[in-house]
Amino acid sequence: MSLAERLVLPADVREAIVAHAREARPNECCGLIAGRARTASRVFRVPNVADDPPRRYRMEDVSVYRALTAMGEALEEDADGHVGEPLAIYHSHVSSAPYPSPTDREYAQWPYSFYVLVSLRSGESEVRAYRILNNHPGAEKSVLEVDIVYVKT
Amino acid sequence: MAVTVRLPGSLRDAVGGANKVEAKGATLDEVFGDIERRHPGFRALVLDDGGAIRTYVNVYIGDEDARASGGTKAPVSDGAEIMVIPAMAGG
Repeated sequence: MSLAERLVLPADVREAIVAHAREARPNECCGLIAGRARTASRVFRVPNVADDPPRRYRMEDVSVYRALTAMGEALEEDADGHVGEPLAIYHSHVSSAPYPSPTDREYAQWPYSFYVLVSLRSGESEVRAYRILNNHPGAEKSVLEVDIVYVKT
Repeated sequence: MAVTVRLPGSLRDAVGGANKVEAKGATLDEVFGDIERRHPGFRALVLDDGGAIRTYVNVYIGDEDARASGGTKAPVSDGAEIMVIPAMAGG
């Protein structure tokens, strides 16, 4: 039996983030997933304003601010029930595995949200979810995989 | 001047776990200083050694990006809502 946490991902949410990744290729895409009770409900696409978008992402600040404000108004929650915060933060890897890179771990500042990775390295899309925790101050952040439960929409 | 400061993501850990704190100050710098007095270490998370807003932190005063309205010198009106947002970035 798995002791991992779970993220419930409706099929249309998975399709939306995979479509975003394919449209953005050869660049990485990024965005936020809102929901409640660890169940995803809607996607906010955010422009990637990184200097090297095929290999990096940085979300456009004002789009993040607007998305968080909308989540607060809709009483949407992060993975630990904090209102007005993203359930998940997603981005794509164009040619590498759906696993948080050293850069992803270095910049991770949202321990109460899930990190969702979409990889397009093969013909099939691969989607995985994680927590990136800074639970050992001064040490490298730890990455815990989260089980994704797919449901029909 | 009493304001509300929202601290999402990892920033809540710096103020004891609440994602919203009340603070006082007429400028952003004074507001952060007021939080620092109660939660030592907070200021260093949001401002760099030179006292400027850190590269990987964004601050909104109402709907305004604080960087566009004076940085830490930005004026804060009574009742303002301030949101300090850790940047979302990676590779």
